[in-house]
Amino acid sequence: MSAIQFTNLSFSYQAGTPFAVEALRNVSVTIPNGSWTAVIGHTGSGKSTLMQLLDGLLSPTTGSIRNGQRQLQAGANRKEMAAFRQQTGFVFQFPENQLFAETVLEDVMFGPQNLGRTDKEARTDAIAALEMVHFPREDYKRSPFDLSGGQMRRVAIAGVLAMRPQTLILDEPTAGLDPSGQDELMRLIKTLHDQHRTILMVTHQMELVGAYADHVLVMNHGQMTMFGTPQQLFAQPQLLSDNHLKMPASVALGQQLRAKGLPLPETLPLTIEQLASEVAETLRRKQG
Amino acid sequence: MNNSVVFGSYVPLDSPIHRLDPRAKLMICFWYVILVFFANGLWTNLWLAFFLLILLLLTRVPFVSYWRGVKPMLWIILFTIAVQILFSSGGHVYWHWGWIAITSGGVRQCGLIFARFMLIIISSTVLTATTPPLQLADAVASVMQPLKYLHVPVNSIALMLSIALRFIPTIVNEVQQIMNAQRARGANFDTGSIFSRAKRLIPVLIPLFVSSFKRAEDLATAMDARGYDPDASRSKYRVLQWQWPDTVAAIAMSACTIVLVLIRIGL
Repeated sequence: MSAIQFTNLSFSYQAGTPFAVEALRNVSVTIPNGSWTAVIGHTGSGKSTLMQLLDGLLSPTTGSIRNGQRQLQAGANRKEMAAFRQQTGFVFQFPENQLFAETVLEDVMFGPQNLGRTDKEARTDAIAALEMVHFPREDYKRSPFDLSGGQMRRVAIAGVLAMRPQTLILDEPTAGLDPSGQDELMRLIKTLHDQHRTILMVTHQMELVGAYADHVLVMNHGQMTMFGTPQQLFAQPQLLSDNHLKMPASVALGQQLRAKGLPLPETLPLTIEQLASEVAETLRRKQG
Repeated sequence: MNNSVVFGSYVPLDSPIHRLDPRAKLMICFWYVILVFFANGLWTNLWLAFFLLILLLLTRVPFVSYWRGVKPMLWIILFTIAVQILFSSGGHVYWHWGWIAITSGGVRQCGLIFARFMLIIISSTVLTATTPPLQLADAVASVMQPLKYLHVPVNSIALMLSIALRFIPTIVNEVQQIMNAQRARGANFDTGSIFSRAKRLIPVLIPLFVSSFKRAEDLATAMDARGYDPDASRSKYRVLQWQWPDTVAAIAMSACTIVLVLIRIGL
């Protein structure tokens, strides 16, 4: 098992035509195996393009990508792209928009069937995936279009998981969900991460980055401006504002408290809960 | 997302033809197509081709763009002229095999049809290459205004037209997204027979229909919420104004017509 490696990766849409638009310039980075990497950057920064390249949906204009044993070179043909894609699952933004089959189970079976598994294997994979997302067994035969928004999203995610990907890309998985739906989904992704999958999550919510990710990749104007831990990122206010990013609420609040004279530690916690206990601890020390 | 969706054949440039009033361009294009059917010989067609060539040069649009307009029609054109040349009769017989024959009448007919196809396609490409789609919709709506007196719902038709045009790039984008999502689930759209490829499009078409209906409903709700009334008289953001170059264009077109009539009578 080895890591995901981008080497001098560049990509232009409609390369070689007068309409060419450079979306990605010279990205080189190694993402450790089994990590949970948050990919952040404002709209049009190239994060979606980077994720599509990692899933072999686009082929690099120059440079290469290695994921485990497989490699995708510049100018790869469709067959090579399809082979490269097999080990990676991609949950697109609003994945419920990809549902099409007559029943939930059939829809989840679509992926494994496309990989050439038999109907029986596909069914086993689909049921395993649906159980992973806690989808109620009695609803397997319902039409995916009769489900609630949150349920549809779970079915769509199961549709990706049923292919048993080693690497999982999620593009803004929590977009449009209510707070409890968001929590539930993040817990699911955490379970998947605990099962040694490599997770890449595109997000705009810095709170999620702080609470869950162990690595963070910052994109700006098609270039990678930083790769490190969330602690490193949020300790650099200048870097954040240069990339049009915000701090998580806990860091922002912690800094304000410190400015008002509360002696909080240099590295601020990344979740509100941790900040609360940190503040309580500091106050206790102050009184004691 | 990338803005790489190039819609239609509009080529954003600044030329005298681009600056013309879209209504003038629409009417001139329409009139030109009528003239094409009026031309029945070598010289009349050459005259129209010459006039069109001047227009092409005036637009400053690279000829490749016009070729792109003709290309999708190429098979239909070739098929039609092949049928014409092989099966029409009359005049001198050059070659025959059974009931298939190449005659001078057939060759003439085939040349005429080829010329008509090319002139009509290229002249309408001049229109679409130099006019943004929304302006074209405005022009169609304004040319249709007199039909109001026949109780044709002109405003609703105009709105339908501009909504349709507005959402084509959105839907193209959406198709790409859904195809990517299904590709990520192992779908293969690129190989296999036409029949199996068509069958494999079901996972794209169904989500596309679902989201299009949803979007249409949302749009209707949003319009209702802002008090849209199809019968109200409304102002326009882009006001079309007839200016002297438009008059010049109309005069040029009339001159072209007169010359055409003279050639037809004289020869």
